[in-house]
Amino acid sequence: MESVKTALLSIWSNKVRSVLTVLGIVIGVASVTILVSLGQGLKDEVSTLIRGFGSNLMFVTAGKIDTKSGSGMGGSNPANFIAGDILTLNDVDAIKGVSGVTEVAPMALVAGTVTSDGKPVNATVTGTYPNFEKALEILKVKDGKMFESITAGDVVVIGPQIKKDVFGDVDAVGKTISINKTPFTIVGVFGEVEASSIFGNEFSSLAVVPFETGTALNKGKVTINRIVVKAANDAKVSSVKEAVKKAILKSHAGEENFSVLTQDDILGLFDQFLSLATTLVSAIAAISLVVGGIGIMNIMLVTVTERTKEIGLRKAVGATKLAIATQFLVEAVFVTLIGGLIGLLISFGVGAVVAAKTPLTPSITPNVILVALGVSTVIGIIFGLWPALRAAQKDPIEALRYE
Amino acid sequence: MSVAIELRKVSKSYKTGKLHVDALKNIDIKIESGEFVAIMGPSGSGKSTLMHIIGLLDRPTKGELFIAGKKIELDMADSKLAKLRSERIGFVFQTFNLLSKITAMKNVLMPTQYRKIGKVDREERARELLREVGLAGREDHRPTELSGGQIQRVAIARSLINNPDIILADEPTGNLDSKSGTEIMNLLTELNKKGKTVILITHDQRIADFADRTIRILDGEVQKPMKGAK
Repeated sequence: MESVKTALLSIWSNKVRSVLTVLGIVIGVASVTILVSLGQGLKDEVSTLIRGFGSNLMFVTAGKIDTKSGSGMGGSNPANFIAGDILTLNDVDAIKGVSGVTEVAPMALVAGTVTSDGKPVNATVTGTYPNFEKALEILKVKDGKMFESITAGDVVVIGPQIKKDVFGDVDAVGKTISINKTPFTIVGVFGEVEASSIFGNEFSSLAVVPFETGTALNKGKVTINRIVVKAANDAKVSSVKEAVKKAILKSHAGEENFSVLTQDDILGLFDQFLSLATTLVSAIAAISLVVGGIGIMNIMLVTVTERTKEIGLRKAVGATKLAIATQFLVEAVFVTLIGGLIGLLISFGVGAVVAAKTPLTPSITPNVILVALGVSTVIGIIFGLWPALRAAQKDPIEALRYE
Repeated sequence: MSVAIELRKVSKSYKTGKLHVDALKNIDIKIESGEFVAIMGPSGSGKSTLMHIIGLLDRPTKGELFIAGKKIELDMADSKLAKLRSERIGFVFQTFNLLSKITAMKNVLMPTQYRKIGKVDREERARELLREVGLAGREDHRPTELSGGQIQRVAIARSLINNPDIILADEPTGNLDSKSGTEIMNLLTELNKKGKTVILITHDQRIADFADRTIRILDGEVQKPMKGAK
């Protein structure tokens, strides 16, 4: 207990020096904690979104994504991901024939500019089937209704953000909006996607048109970039996934240039990405911690030299080597621990700002706190050990003579 | 009376570079418990080395050393020597060696960090000791707020906190004016009267005169008694 008091006194009497010394530790701890908490917040978001989708939802997408090896694109041609001609209506029909599949809805990206009274509107135009709403459980038409066929003509269902941007609080159903200068009648407005605040934005500015209308807007070209597949509630998702895959393989003459992703796969992909990012920042933070640790060691060596006479005195009045070593080690650990605490406080502050200014809610778990404080302590021990041992080894006679 | 310190044929030699130095040669000294002894000698005589050996800060190269009848083995572990120092010996230094950032009270208490004594007991004891050395009411003063003489009084209180049998004072008045020096010497004399064995290391005859007996060291050897011989 005495060594703790002595350590605190010594740190306090060298305030400026102590603050500068712990900067490396502060930066290291803060950067790791902030990143991990952001990652955790993002992961919570994604999990919420996926729970919203329901676990029996699948996406078929162009391009081969390897969800197992962790290499992401698995050596396939990255151009496939944006190619619009890989997935076809034949695939849609083939998937419809798979047992256990209840809904299939292709999504065709439409090259369309949305305007209202000549002013551009931020919107993503997608051509799809009327059952799109049923397949994507979280997206519900709030006002009006979904169009009833793929040939329903120039009608559109818009996301809540478009409605808010263009019409404000006024009812939008029955009004018109222009896509590529052609007026479209708004038949429905989607409700807010409450499950996810970040990813909901993507749906908020969606403008959905009947599939054939979309094809016409694309000048007759069918460009399916995604197929939404919903399995029966009681079906086994993994076996339905394999069956869907087989069906598309057959219609693609055996070429696997597409991916079938379940919600677990998407979560897995996201985890892979997140752990890569965490590893990178942790490596940078580790460097910062090592540099910080060297700073601590340096300043502790200075402190030991400055206090040579004190060491001699303490030894003369009965301090053992162990007692002296402990005193300086405790001091080093306190410096790093305080650095770790400041780092944590900064990340709590940044977290609060991020939570207030963005839809993301960073989450600092007790584990993160424990790891941050644990790492600070270990840095203090590692880099405080040598100065502490040097202090302990000092000859009391020499030390007492030191001026 | 029992023997506080006994040295039998103690020699100390060390090497500085290629030079072989015999700092102490076959020293025989016996100091009874409750004695007030001055060890005198010019600088380089070996009196500092002798003080370090008596204070268990240094080890003899040869010979036998007894503290309170207990033989100190030449290869005794550092931690055991540290324990003996804390229990048996109180140091008073020429340069006072107070910790400048803490109060008089805390300076007096500092050596108790290395002993196991109840917290209340030792604080009471420190207060009592400060009163005994004439510093009642100055417990919370820092060394920078005290005069040289007062600082040395704090140091004397500190040397007494663990209730040692032996007070080892190394030129305790060396950095003080003569008035403060006399006061400090009177304080040490008083302590001796209360039963402490006081060993004074000095090169100043006027200071040595406060002691009952003077041991003169020259060139690492004890000189024949000249006066005040036992």
